[in-house]
Amino acid sequence: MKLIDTNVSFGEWPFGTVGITSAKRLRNHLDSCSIKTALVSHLATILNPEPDHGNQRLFRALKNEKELIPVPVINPALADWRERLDQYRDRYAIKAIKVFPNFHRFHLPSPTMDRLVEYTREHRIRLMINIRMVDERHQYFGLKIDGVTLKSLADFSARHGDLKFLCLGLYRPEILELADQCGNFLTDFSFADWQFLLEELLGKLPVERILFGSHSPIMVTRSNVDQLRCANIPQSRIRKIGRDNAKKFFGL
Amino acid sequence: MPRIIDIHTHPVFFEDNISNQAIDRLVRYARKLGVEKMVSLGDVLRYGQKPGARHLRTLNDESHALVQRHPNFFIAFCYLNPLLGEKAVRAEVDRCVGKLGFKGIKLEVANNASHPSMKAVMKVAEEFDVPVLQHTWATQHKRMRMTHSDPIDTCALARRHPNTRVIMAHLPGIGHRGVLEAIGIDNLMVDTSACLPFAGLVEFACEKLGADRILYGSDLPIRELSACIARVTAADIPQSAKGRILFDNAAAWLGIDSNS
Repeated sequence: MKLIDTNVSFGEWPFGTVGITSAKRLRNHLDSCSIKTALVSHLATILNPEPDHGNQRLFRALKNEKELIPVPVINPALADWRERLDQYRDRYAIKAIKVFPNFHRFHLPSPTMDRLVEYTREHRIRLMINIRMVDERHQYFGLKIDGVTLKSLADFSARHGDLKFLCLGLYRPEILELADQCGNFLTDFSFADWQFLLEELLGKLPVERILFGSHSPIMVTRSNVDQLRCANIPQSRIRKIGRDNAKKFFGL
Repeated sequence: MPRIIDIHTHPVFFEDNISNQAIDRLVRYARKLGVEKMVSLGDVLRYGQKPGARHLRTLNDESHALVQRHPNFFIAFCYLNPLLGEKAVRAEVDRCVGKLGFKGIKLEVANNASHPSMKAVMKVAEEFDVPVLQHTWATQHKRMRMTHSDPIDTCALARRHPNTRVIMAHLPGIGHRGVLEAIGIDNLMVDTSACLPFAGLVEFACEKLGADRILYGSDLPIRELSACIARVTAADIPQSAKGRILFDNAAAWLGIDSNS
């Protein structure tokens, strides 16, 4: 089965020796791990004061790669986010946007995000929320960014009860705790780790709410692929997590 | 499928009544992935950071029970608290290594590796010719270093005791700085266990230390086996290096016949 990967980055990550700066290389790398389609954001959007520059680079780089779907990063704390998003929609028919609340310093449960949520509903664009990029224990000592808190996610979820949104980078205990509080979040499992993980998650979450995301190339792509492939769950569930859920959620 | 020895696992973890069925299931699953041998280090934090002699005996007996149930699969290391003193350390090593056939010593976070109590541990390890696996994590400038060994501490321990073999645990925890610290210490190996599969570290360790100084480990059950194995099998290093990391190095260090 060919997978759909909901959590892929393009460009260089300044805090490690990893990064892929060629679309062809990224495609070949994902292909080698049985990933056919990927939703991709540019790493330059995260630490830049405004993400448009990184988004434009992403659109240019991926323009000939129909299976690498660009996901622009939006910072709703910036005054021009709506114009930027209008522009992306007009030119590129985007499927989803991604936000980085803690890197870009805005609150999820806030009027700022309310306006962005309203926009995504109106234009049928999916919302992806980055929870973290690295394990906080190993961050570069000069830059400490905590993960998005469960409280802010729960408050956001309650504020937009009928909005389905995808969280990228939740730890296993966070997924389990959030599952008890919120009925409308979906999640990848790139940062969740435990023996027989997927069996455990499926005990708490309906299969429709778990999507495959590798956090490639910052993480070893094959590790998360194998975690899904080797899971002791029915093949029909592996197909849903690895492909069908993303297909349905993003309308691919 | 690669042949694998997993040098770092805790098959029993915060459970004193784990069922044989659960253990059998783990063994079946691990074998399916190519794991031929698994080192049980014990349920090291069940009784806190500084377990007493009675608690150590309980935990080591559990590791022994695993070996008895699956003698061709599990290998046990003797979990110790160096702070209990030379007499207690020697008594438990005599019992576990001398009588029960344990193949190594496991140290967690009772004390930093630079603590004077380590001398007795290293001495008895040398006498029995078994490796000492020391939990290690980058804790420089952190208060927890009183009990948690930084790579600087574990490497200094290995240098002070060149005739005792040391395994510095947790490649992702020691990071790039830990790998560099380990250069040139021939009696020290690094294991790949723990943490999420961030890319690039196995390649870096191979480049700086050579594949002969790296042992595969998972830290199961905190980690999922398939993801841990892929950290090595998907690394951008030669196939021969993967074989050494996953199997050959551990087989040599633990005296396992590769053909068995």
